[in-house]
Amino acid sequence: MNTLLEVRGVSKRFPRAERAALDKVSFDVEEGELLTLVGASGSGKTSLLRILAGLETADEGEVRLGSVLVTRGRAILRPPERRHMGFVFQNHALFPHLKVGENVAFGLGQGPSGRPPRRQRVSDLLDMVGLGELAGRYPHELSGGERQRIALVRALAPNPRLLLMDEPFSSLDQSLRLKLRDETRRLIKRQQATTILVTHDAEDALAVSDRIVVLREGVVQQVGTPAEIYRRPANRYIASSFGPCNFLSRADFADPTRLEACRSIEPPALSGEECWVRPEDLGLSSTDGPQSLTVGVVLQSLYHGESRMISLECPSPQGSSIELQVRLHGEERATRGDRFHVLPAGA
Amino acid sequence: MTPLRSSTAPAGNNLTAAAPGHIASRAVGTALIWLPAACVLLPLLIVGWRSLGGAGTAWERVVQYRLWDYLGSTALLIFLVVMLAIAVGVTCAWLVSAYDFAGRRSLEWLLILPLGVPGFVAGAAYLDGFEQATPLFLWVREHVGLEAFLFSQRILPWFGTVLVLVVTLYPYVYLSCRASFAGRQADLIEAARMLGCSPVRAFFRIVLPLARPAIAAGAALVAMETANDYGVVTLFGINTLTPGVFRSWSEGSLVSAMRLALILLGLVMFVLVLERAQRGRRGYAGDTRERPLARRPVVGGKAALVWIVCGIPLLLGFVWPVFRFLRWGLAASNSADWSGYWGALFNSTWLSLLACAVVVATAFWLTAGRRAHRLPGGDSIQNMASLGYAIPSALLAVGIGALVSDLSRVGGLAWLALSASATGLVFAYWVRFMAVGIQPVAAGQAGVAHDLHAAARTLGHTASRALFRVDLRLLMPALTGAAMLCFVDVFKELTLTLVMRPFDFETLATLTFRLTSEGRIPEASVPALVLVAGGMIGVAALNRLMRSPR
Amino acid sequence: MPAVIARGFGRVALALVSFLVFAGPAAADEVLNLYSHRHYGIDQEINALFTEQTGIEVKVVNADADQLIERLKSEGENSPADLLVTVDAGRLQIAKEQGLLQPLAADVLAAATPEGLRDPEGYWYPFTARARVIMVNKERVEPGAITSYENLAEERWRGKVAIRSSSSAYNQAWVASMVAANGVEATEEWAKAVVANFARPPQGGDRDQIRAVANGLADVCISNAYYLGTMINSTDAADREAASRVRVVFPNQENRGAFLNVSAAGLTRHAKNIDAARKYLEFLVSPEVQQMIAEGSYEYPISLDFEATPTFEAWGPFEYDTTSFPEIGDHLDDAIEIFDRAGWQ
Repeated sequence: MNTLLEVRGVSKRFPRAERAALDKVSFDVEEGELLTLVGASGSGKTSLLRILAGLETADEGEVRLGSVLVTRGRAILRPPERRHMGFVFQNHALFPHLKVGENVAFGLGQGPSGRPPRRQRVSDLLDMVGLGELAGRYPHELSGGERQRIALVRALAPNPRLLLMDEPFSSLDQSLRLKLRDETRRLIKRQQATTILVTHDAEDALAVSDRIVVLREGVVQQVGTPAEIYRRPANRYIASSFGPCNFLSRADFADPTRLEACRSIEPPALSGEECWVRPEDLGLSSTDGPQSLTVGVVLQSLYHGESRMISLECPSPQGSSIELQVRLHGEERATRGDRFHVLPAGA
Repeated sequence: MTPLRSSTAPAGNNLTAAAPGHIASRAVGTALIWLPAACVLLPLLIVGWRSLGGAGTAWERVVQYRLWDYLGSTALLIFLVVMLAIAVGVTCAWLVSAYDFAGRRSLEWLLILPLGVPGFVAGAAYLDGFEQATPLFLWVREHVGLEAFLFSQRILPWFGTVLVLVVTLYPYVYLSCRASFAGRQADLIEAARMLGCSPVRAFFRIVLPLARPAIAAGAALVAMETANDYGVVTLFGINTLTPGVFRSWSEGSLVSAMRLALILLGLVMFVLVLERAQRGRRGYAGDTRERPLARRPVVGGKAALVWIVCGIPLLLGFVWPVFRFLRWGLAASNSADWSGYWGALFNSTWLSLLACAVVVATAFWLTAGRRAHRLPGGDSIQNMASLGYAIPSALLAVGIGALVSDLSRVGGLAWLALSASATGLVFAYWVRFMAVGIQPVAAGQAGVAHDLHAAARTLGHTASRALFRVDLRLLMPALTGAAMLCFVDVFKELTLTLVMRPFDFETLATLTFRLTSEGRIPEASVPALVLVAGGMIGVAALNRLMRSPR
Repeated sequence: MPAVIARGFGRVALALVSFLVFAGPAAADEVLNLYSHRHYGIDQEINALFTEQTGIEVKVVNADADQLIERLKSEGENSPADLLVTVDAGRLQIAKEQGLLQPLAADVLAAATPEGLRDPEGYWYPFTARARVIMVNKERVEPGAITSYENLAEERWRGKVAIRSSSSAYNQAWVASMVAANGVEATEEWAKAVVANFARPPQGGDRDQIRAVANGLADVCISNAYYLGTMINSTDAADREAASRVRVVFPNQENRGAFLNVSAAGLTRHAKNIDAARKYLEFLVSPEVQQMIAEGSYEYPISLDFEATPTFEAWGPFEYDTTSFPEIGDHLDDAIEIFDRAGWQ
């Protein structure tokens, strides 16, 4: 696979800001992949996306599209309208004075053979998202989910080399979000569009991405596949961003060797004393066993529908107690005050 | 909020008053709510009714010889002025909104200045300027021919009128557009660029269409001001409907005058309907964030070009006329009639203060007062009361003037007859400028939380007291702005004042106009400059009210 | 609610109080009330002198004659006006026809004014004469090139004539006199030809026409003579310079004479101070005041004393029209109609 986009050392600082918005960010994007930039608000991810689009300048660094240098530092060598990129804005930015069909057709330019091919393409695109009969409506007559889909289709219509999406799902409610998320990934893959998606939602990132770039306060924390990010986070921040995680110290366990049986996280920069274990890698038993790590009292049991998150308070050999999160699937119930033995899941 | 409105009784003594009293005061309140709107309709009704009467040969003569000339001239003038004002206003608004350059902030408000210059003041300056240019026309007569010369002399009054009206009225379009451009369009322009549009094409495909309602609103104002103009067209000898109405009136045929006024109303209504109709089904507000346009910096030659382009209307509409009048004023300072000036200034000031007090009180009453006392009506009341602005001055003048002279025939109150004219004038101002008061106050009210008023009610205030202690204070900025705008509008007003004033009564506007139309321009310089200074107050108020969010 | 009503009344009360300032003039013993269209500085001096000499206070209400007539009509018996003073005989004729004036028998006045220039029934008496003459550009027009109003219609003046709008009462009275002299049809033909000769569509007042001739924009214009007098004696150098380039031609010296209009006063029907009014009128035609007028507003004295001032001396004596003058009032409507038909804006 070819590298479509190269980002090298991009930095940006806003005036009167205490720290840089972006600090020497570098990564590549392969053709055909869906890359997600994940970070909390203020992490600089939207700025980065806009720099890639050519809508903003960086202070330093280079952006190469294909092999063409399009941004170097403050110089935008190629303006956004000539980068052949698509951009889906957080709030759709549909043109309110144009009908849906006209919106979608906006980037298609003057077709060489005239109108019918354009109209056909527009209606094909709309059909792909199931909105074929809305071509004659105006954006303000549509629902939020419909507008999001139109925005996506509009960006895809001119077959861009690179599709940029800025928090496309954040304004939607839960059920719509999930549905749209899947639909979006399917559509993108079908169009074979290389995509960079920006989100603050870790779950979205894990669900749709081929690769993830984690940003924190302008600095790249880690680049990897979702599995890599989830299973081998480079630091505590990443670990806890992508799901609950138990940060354990070996000294809190009577027999630390039993921890090896957990499918635990093995961050490379780990000191020998620390061990990170995801809640789903732990289980509970009412009886003691050879693999039992410790014993604890249930503090709280939260029902999440497909799983249950139990918090237990467990005594530590060091004298204090630690809190463990255990995720249970199935019908086991736990109420506050119950005593359970904690052991590796599947044991 | 809702529980407070329905279940909490105002802890004043309204409930303890006898039920009939409560009903009576509500009835009075409702009547007073409808009063302003009814007063706006009154001149229309009078003119409509009286113009059905017999007019005899005078009207036939008007129809045969003058009507089509009036109509054509008015329509053509409106068309030309509106088109050019749009071109100038949109260009300046765009340059100031999309680009950043040295002195941009100053230029933003400088461009509004011509609004403070009354048209007939600028017109007098240009008329004199054209006179200075006579050698040029003589050259044409010598070297090109008599026909070319005659043609130029026929075109010149039109050129002058259109020029003067465009450079003094374009700020309406400019302000309207500037507000639109400053709005939430950054995302849309960026979206257009990502879809392959260069910035220039994005302007034409996105920005301009989206600004259409704003442009239309500004253009409608320009059209109405042009239709109502008396001073400029009279100076240049253009025969539009407004001077035509007054001419028929002074020739003794009131019915002809009224019919012409109705025709003018029809023309204005046509323009307004056009403005509404062009909206269609389209949306104009996106649901994008309030992210204004990021300005592109320009420097050097390009920045100079921007200043030149924007500087032209500023120069023509403000700098040059004011400069000429200053020179005249300095030259003629010994032959000035100062007692006349002071008298006119006094009259202008108290008239404007009185009118603006009445207008602002009405605006406050119709917006906050209505809501506080929970009287019926809603927005339609405000809209009807605002209609007064669309009624041509000529129609107001003949309608109210006829009413006044009828009333003064009834009964033997001689003093009422004379002062009725002044009352009629303030009444006409009230009807016409009610909209100027209502719009800013209603907009201000929309931003004021009703909760605060309701909170005051639960703390024991009656509706009226809460009105004064809470709403009045909260609305004070909007009320002040409205008062300033209204003051200046009345201060500069010519058409109504000229026709309806009491005898021996000069305002600065009428005095300036009389002196300039008698050719005594240097003597007119002092009142003209005071008028412009007064206009600057209005400009400051407008700027404050419409300050762009950045 | 009470607050609301109180506020409403407060508004009205405020308005009323403010307008008491404009309450009608209170009738006092020795007062004379004028409704006047005159607006010359000299009038204030004349009135002051009158008060000084007779002790009668003169109160003046200034407005256009048309508005004054409207006002008189609507005031009826309650009108405080004693005299209606205009700058044009036509308007007084209209007032007389509408029954707003009453006759005043005054031999002094009758003796002081030429017969052809006053109302034979004594409803009004003139006190200045205002000649409406032709003015030409000295350089471009030789003496004798144009001698009559009728000449204005000739082809040779194509694109060279400047006259103000037909809405002017001066023009209306003047053309009315032409109708009296030449008949409706001939005057209509004449008017059409004059309009074809305009250098520019009518614009501005008489003074602007003089300036147009001075600049060379037009060769000839029609204007009231006193405007030129004002310009000749103006403090403004530009005015004087322009005036120096213009020459006065008294038209129609071979036949009926130059058109004269008058500034005149008529006793109102419901005048309360008739005696004071008579005194005032007699005062106006006294030699002292006539001299003041001649030097102050450059109008001709009603006695038509040509040597009264250097300005008049320079222009010289002239014959004036008394035959058509009395019929002006009858033909004003014709004049307006002719203007419309000729397209004289």
